[in-house]
Amino acid sequence: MASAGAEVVARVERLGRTYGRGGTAAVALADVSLELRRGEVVALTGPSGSGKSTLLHILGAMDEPSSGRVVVAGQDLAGLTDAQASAFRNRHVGFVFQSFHLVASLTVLENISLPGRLAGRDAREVAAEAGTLAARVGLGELLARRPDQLSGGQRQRVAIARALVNRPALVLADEPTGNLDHTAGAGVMHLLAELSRERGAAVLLATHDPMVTAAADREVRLADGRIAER
Amino acid sequence: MFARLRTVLGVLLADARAHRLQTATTLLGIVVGVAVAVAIRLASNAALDSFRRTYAGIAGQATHQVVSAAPMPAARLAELLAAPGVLAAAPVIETTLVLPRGALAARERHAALSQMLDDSAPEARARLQTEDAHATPGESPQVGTHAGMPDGDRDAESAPPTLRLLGIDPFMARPFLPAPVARAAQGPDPEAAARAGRAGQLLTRMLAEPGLVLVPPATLAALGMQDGGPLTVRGPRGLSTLTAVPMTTEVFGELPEVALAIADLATAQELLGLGEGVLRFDLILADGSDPDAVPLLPGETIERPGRRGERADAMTAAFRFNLLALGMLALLVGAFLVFNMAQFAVVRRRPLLGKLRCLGCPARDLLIAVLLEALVLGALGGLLGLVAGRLLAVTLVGDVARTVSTLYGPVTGTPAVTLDAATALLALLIAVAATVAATFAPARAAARTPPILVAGGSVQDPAPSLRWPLVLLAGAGLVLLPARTSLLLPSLSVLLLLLGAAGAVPVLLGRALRLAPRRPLPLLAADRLLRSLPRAGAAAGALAMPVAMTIAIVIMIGSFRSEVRAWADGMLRGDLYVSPLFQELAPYTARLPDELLPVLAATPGVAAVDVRRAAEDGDPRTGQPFLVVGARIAALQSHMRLRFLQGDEADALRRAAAGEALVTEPLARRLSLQPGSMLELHGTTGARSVRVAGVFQDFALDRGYALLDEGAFLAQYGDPGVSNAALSLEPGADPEAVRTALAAAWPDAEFRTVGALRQGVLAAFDETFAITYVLQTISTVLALVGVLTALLCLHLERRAELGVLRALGATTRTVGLLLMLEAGAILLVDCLVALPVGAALAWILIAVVNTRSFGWSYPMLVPLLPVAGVLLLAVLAGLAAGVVPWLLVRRARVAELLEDPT
Repeated sequence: MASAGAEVVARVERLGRTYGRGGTAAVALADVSLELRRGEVVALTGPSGSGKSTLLHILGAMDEPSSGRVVVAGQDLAGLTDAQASAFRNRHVGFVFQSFHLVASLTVLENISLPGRLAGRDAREVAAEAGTLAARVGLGELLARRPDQLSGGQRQRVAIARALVNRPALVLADEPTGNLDHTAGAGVMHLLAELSRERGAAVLLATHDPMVTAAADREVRLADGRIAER
Repeated sequence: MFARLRTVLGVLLADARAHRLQTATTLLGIVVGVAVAVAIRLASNAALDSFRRTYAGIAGQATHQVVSAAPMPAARLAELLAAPGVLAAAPVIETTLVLPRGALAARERHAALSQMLDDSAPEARARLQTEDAHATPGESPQVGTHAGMPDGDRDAESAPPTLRLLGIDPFMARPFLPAPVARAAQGPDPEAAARAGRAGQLLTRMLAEPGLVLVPPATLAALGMQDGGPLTVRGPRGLSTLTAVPMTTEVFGELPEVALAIADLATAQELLGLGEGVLRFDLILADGSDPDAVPLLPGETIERPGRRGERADAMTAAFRFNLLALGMLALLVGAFLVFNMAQFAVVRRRPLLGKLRCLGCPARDLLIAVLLEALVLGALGGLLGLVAGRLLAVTLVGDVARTVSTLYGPVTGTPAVTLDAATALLALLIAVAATVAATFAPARAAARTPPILVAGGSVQDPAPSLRWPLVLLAGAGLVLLPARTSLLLPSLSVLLLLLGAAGAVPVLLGRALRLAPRRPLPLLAADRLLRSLPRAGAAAGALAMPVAMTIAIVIMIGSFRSEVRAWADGMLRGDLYVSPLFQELAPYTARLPDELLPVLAATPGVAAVDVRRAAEDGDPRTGQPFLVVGARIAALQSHMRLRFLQGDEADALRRAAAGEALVTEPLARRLSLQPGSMLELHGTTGARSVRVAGVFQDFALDRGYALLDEGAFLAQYGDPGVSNAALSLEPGADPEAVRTALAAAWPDAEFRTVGALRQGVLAAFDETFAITYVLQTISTVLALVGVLTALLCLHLERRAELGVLRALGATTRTVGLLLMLEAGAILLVDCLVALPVGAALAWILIAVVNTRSFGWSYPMLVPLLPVAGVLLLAVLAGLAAGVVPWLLVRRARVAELLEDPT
């Protein structure tokens, strides 16, 4: 668990996101403020349509806020160009998706290495780190396998290792256990929390899973785009 | 940036490896397009160059040549030698002789000779001088490919081999021999002097012994007579036996072709029955001297030796363009297949590209990587296409050479296919450009895909738009408006029409799918297709294009054939037609034996003999040759009926009988002639302009001819001899009996009944378009294979959906029906689009391209059965695209279908 004095890696101030205009406008987020600290695991909960995914997308520089300010790893995300947003995602954010989104044609090692290689890091250095991470998530013996040769739990562990290979400040996970059974889900959650803490990353995970919420350091609950409970 | 690019390229490469089928299909599209286009270009170049060489002849050291419409007296030599600037002059007779089958030792020798002419390199010659076992038994004996008038039926398999005959004056020709031989006579090198001495002995022997010909050793070896000996040849005057003596390179150096015989001028004159006449004078003019200062007689012209080749080029320009256009169409099919496959590949990869975006790869880097990959794929496909095209050209060149022979005259030697740098570079450029261009737009759209869509799990393909297809279709119409002779704009119109139609298919497919019956299975099929419309639509567009093109070609050839049949039926009205047997050696200047004509008139059953004479002429402005035919106009209508396109028939015939000219449609178009305009003629009696009385339809000669009344013709060209004759028989006489009797008595002339002649016209027509069918079939079948694979890929990608259906209780039969409904919907829209587009393309080909390139016009008819056959072929291909995935689904477990690889 992160200490109260730990460095803030992400700050969200009075964030609003509205889709459409006029009578058809839909408010996805309104007046959301939030801080995430290094090593902290935060569960973002709420019913479907409450704005969880929108918040993750904005923090990952994949969507832009309609109002408010978002700063991640010291970088204000307002007005980033595509190249800047891409570089930001690559260096400072790791993603874990419900559907894994691994590259089917690459091996486990290549999938984990991919963000490092996209960052232009030395191939051997990245491969070594990817190998270490693979071992940490229990896939050290399966480096040459491809995603279709892995179980769902194993695929999600590859995704976790991939999310962490560039030592990001923030890991965003969208229903990371949604496609897994309870045992696999618990294992994945445990690994995600442990490895993120080890590497000093803050984790924000959107979930409906009580087990995940229980494993988090704290819970932020959204309802109708607003923070209902912390 | 470079490290990132390398990484993205690595991911794309891994994806390409993982999707080998799709990658192979994309590559196949490029290979097919390039191969067919390259094959057509190489085969046509080889055949036409061979024809050009045959036509241009052997120029030696000559700087100029004096040629004439008729044989020139050898005595002209003295006048030419006295002309200012003339350093040397020599009379020359150049012609082609047939080697009757009996002259050859065995069928295998034909093969060896054919092989030899394929490759005149020293090692090939050495190979041919070895044992007979090296020759391939049963190979087609095509030493020279040749044919006769377009109205002749012939069988290439039975075509006899040919030999070029060069008749020279050994003394006068010495300055024209290769420089080293000429110099050696005075040089200090004893070996060179000895060589020159041996050459001199040979030439002297040739002069002293009538009927002696020098033949290259390789030719003799192929004939099975290494040491020479009696050689039977057939010339315009029948069979003759010559004495062949081995010729060495000491006489003429390296010759451009080896199926050659060199004879003394007198021997050649005797063989051709020229008396004291010669066919040309070779000249060496002093540097800077004016060729126009050489005094010429009426009908004579002076030209550079290469000019004959240029005339051959002008003669075959339309055919060359036709083949080029066909090659371009094939390339277009390939390019469009590439276009669709490249689009398909990018669209398929949108989720992958989205994942890379999520992981921090900028859109620009993704776009560059995808384009680089396309560039590599295009270059690789282009290279493979070059190799495949070279191989295909070797198999096609015989067909093309046969068509050239049919249309224009003999092609001596088997054309050698060589891949030139310009063709290779052009093909590679087109392959790369088409692939990169095809990839650019979808790749840019995919690279700009917001990563949020991947994160949210909903990657949507962009909906197809009708805007660009409509712009392209409008463009196709607009570029046809300018009334010019250029073929570039119609070609562009064809391109735009095809692109526009293929682009419109996805939109029309989308609209058609919304009309699906409100029953579960059709609705489900429509829904599945609608969700993957850009991909399914691209594949459907790719299928529509070759189908439309095939329909267009079927309509064009069907319409053309129908008109040619009507023309032959209407025009040929005599009972018997007589032409020289070996007319193919000089298609438009071959003559009937003088002694035959009185015999024809006296033959029992023959009521009338109408003769035709022909002379070569040319347009001085363009240098384009045309033929002038002399016939008795008053008697013409008894054995042929001209179909007039311009000018009143009765008035035109009356004027023509009075000395005006009738011109064929191609000549009228080429020289912009119409009734009332003037045609310039350059006969042996001087230049003269004649008024054009009418324009008539003719499909025999694409370069066209003018028809003069006999009197006007003889006044203009003298009497070059009779080239063919039409016999009208007395009532009750049996044409076949008369034909048989005449043919038995005159083996050196060909007698055909009107029925045989009409059949011959259609046989020649079919032979001419055989190459078109072959090439079109190749590109269509391969395009269909490509499309089938594309549709299969599409189905494979959506296996999981079929798994869901199976999990919900759908039987394999239901799934099969669903797949067939999908394929059926695609096919229905394809056929609905391909029919009108094919008809529009046919109209462009008939009314614009054909008229402008060949000068032939004919109405468009839609041959229902062949068109239905094309549609049936498309339906079968499409249904196969539905059957194959169904079989795969049938064999797979339901759980297996539901698995997601990532």
